[in-house]
Amino acid sequence: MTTRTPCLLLVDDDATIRSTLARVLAEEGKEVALAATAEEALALLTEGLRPGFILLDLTMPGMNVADFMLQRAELSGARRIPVFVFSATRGAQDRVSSLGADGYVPKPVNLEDILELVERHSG
Amino acid sequence: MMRSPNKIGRSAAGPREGGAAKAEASLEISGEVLAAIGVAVLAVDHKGLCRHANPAALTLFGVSELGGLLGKDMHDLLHGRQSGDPTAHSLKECPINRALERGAVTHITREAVTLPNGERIEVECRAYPMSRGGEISGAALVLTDMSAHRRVEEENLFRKVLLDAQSEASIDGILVVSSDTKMLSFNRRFVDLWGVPQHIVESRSDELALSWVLQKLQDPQAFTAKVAHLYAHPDQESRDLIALKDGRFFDRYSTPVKSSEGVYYGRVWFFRDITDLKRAEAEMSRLYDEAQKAVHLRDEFLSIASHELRTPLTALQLATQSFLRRIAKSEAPEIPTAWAKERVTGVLDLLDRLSTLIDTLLDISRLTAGRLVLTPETLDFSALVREVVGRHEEQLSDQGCALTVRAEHEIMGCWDRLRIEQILSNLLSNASKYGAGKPVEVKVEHAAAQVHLSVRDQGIGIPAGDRKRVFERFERAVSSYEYGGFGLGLWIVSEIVKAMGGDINIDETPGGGATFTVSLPLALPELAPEPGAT
Repeated sequence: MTTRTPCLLLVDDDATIRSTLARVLAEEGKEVALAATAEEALALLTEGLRPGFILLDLTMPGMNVADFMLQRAELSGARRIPVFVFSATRGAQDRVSSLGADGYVPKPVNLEDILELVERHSG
Repeated sequence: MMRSPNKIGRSAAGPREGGAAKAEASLEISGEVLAAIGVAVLAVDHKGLCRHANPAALTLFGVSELGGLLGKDMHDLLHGRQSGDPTAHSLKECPINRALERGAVTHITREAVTLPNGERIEVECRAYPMSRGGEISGAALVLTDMSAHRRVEEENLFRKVLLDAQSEASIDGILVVSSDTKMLSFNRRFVDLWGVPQHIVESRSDELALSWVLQKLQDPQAFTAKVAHLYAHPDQESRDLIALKDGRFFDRYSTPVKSSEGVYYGRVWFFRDITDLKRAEAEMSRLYDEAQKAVHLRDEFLSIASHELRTPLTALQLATQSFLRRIAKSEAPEIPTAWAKERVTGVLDLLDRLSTLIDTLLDISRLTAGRLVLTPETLDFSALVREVVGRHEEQLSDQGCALTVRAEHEIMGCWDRLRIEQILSNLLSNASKYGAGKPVEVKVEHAAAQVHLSVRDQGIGIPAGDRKRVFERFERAVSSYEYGGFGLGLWIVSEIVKAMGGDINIDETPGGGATFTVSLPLALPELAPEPGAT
């Protein structure tokens, strides 16, 4: 198992958001891992992906975020990776603590804020 | 025979024959009693002349002193003989004469008395013969003023008429039942409300009336149970709602009838038809629910709209901020043209996506407010369909959908070009979204003065039970988490089709999937068909 350590894992079903964030961070010299669903993200974590933090969209097809959080906690190596809820839905902030997430990043987001999070959770 | 008749009066001259003290005392007591009682008593001699009268008699005849009556012929006073009253008795029938001549206690007679002030009053007269030494010496007359009785009787009659009128004018059906549950009275409204047939009304039978009422009720058991309970508890009032089989609702109120001393006489039942009120209540409740649902839908829509708008905005913001960082860090010549072009193209795509979302929001607003304006234009429907499909080929191909179009024949008509484009674009997006990776077929047909446009996919399909619902606002056959968007595309399509005078249907595609068919007249509503339409 090879351990990849990108600065963050973005889990979002919107392809435009995934590609845009990956591209702008690549230009900043940062590697981003991408997943379109919670299932994909879990698979990457199971394979040994260890990002600095996880940016998790709240509304996605398939597995819901609560189940994702439970299953992530089962993965010993992924348990300590901070998770930030990434949502355009008003009121999403209120769900952060009930999901056991570490924080909330609203959409739209400032690139500077993402870069600061990357900085804080790198290495 | 001229003996004094005044043995009953205290004001009489006193004992005539060496009277015993005992007898005198008894006379005095009689006099006091006569003075005290409210009944008019007069003593007349054998000629019928007044020899004494008690204070009540003075009052009755309207005189202030005994002198006003003494010596007066009572025939004149009682029968109005002098006034020539045609109703006056003949002397033979006169109660005074009957007493004086025959020693008979008269039957009660009614007499008309004319008072000194000219007023005539009616009195009831009894005459009792008085005898002394076996001879009739005079008579005692007892007179009762009947005008007071008449006034009370008239007053009672008036009250009864008033109560009856009140009862009849009531909007309540009223039934009065005795303490032994017999029907005492009911008003017209009661009969009308319950539709009681005439033969039951006339029979006044409790049993018939109750069975008539019971067969009209939705729940006769509950009705009889309530009635039985109230008869077992005479003190209780009750108010409830009863439902009739014919859909009406009555407000039933019952209260005991008691005297001021608390004696229970029976019970009054009031029935009021409140069907209209109940219907209004139900309508209000329905409107309230509808309003609540509308508020909920609006909130849900705002939430979805905000989510949908923020998603492209997020990408747009990241792309432009990144662009700015690059410019800030570099000298202008160092920015590769290809990179800048790609970045700006990406930004324009996102702006397109936002613009489409905003157009959709505007359409929703216009359609909700009924302000959709159609712009008629004569065009070939098939050609327009081919053009629109051509524009979507790339999108469908990206989704892995092989496209077939059957729209060869020219079909001329008058439609709104942009709205037809919108309908087809929505249906194609829908087909590629729910039928990704499977073939999509578009077909145009002309039949029965209508043009039929069908879009057939082989996707997940729509269960028969959901086919109407998908055209409602914010409705999808599947969860919104699975497929993004407002969930309004099909609602918009359906509303535009309706505005064009057409209709839209969903059928199952053989082998799975959904076929949407839009049928439109050859011209927009209120516009004459194009003469050249084929």
